Amino acid sequence: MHLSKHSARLKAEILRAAVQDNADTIEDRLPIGLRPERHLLVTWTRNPWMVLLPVSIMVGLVLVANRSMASVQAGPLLQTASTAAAPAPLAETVPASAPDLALLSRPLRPRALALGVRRVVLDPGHGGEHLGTQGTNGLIEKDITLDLSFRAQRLLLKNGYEVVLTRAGDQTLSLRQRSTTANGERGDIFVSVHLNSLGAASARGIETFYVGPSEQPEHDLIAEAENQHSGYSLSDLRTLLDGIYVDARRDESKRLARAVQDAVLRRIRKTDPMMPDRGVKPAPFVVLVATEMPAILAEVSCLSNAGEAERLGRDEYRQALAEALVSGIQSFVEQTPGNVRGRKDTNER
Amino acid sequence: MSVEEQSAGTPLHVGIDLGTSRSAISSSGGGQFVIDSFVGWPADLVARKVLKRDLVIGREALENRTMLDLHRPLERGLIKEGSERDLQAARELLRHLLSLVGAKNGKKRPVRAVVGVPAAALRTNKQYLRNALKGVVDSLMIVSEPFAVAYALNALVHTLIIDIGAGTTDFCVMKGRYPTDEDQRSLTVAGDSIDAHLHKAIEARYPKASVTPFMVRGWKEKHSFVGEPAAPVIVSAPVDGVPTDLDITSEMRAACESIVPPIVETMLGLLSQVDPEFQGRVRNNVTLAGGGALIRNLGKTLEAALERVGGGKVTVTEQPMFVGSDGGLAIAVDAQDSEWDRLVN
Repeated sequence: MHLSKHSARLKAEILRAAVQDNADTIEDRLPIGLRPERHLLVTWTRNPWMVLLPVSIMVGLVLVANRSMASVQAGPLLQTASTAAAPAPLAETVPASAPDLALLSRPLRPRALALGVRRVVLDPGHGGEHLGTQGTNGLIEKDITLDLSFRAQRLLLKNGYEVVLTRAGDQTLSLRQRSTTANGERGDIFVSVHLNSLGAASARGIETFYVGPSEQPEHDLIAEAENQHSGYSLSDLRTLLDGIYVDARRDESKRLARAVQDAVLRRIRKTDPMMPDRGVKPAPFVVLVATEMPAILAEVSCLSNAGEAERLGRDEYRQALAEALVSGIQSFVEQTPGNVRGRKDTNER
Repeated sequence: MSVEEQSAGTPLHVGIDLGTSRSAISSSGGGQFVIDSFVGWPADLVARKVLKRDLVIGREALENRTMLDLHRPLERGLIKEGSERDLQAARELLRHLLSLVGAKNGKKRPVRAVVGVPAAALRTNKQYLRNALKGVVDSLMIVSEPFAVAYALNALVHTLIIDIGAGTTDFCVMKGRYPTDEDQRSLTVAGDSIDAHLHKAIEARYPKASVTPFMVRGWKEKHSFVGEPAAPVIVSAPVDGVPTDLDITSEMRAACESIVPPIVETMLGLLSQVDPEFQGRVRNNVTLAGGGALIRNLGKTLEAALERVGGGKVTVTEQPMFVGSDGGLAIAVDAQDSEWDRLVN
């Protein structure tokens, strides 16, 4: 009975989608998945924090301004966070007036966080029962990502970094286990290594994802509307701080993604000038969302392309990819103020 | 036909598999028909006098093709575009199919049709079909053919449908949702390409034999196989005007096996894109439908290919010629009145 009910519901849902698809054809509308408003709705539905983020930043900035905090810097703010966590004095402060929306235009500069990079978490995609994609030549994504990660690990160690691998063998890991490892080991950056699989056999290219929503001006409008009657109290400052941190993390992730994408592309185009650049894109991958440090997911090659699959079978090509990954990380680190790479002091941890 | 359905104004629901070679229809009134997708007009006055009609459709058109301006209005599962005569032929074909299940022009009973098209049909193809069927059906839903098959079999989750028709071979992985472009593939390697391959091979081996495409298609439908033959394939064709037995066993095998590698490659490619957790379940739920499913040993051959990725099970549907139209009918019946109201043609 339960199954038949489930089956009937499933059929009804599928039918609704079929009817919608036909209605779109009749009215010559874009397929539902490609409509901008749909993207936004899906993004918000799946990631409510994306809506809360600008709201909390907004409220927090107003609160911070009310408290005459002249500049928005991570260090002091974080200290304020722990102070503000005490409940008693917080309940009394509620923003009475409409927030100053102009504050929204003040960007937080992530570099003000002055975070260094010492410990790199490498996440070889898939593993164990999760094969990932497969090449027509029999190569399996989980094996290649592990090989690339080992190679990158050796290079990073040589350069004085500490390296944590989420898996060092053919293990089945959930995304949660990966992010738990990264967070537990307090990595400074998180690089998930993957190989792409694209629909058309001829398709290929390199692309890198970073944590975060796509840039949508509608977010600001939502924040503005929500804050008219926000009723937020200082107890939400924690959310604000988390929000700013997430914002900064997103920007740093984007910078890391760009550095890695550029480095891999540059390296591969030396021997393959026509290698397509599929770009740097925000995406709410769970493994990126759940980690607490700048995080990227690099699709460094495309196993569904026969030519790429053949190259991935070669030792020197995989080494080139690993070197390019490390070069990208290095480039990101060099542009990061407060770089503490190579410092032996681990007391802060 | 139920009493209720016979009443004026009650919609007639139909599912139609509009095929390049054959088209099938299933109706809520219980009718189920398959016809050859050929439409012919008498070539001249003499032909009209002999045939005693202005339009001939289906097998009869094929059999009287010498007297007809014969049209096969579908190409790769879609109405040929750019030819007014083919468009007209497609409309006549549809009208004929509908008349077989009791839908008559001028009657008040509205027709709600679900038509299956290749998985790779573009939006423009669908719009063209929709326009072509204006005035033929009252409400129209167009779905991908393998999806219709999946619906008929209630195989909506963790299944892979391979529908081998004449013009296209369509693939669809069902993931418990309406399939997206990523879930589907279409190959033009299908029944027609086997015919072409076989015809060429027979002509190469028996250059003096007179063989037509229609003879080749008939032989294929009767004797197709991959792997080991059950018996030698011996056919009869005129050689220098004398009926002669020809052994085409090896040609038949080569022609039928020519479609296997691309089908295997596409099947494995689609499987590799399934969430690894569910790949095993999908591999064990591969269904073959369409006329190509009747090729002997094809299911076993695909199962052998699946061994490379952990093994699997391939099942041939019980009624491969009707499963698509049955799926269309099931969709038509299950859709709500309010949903049909959105699809008025």
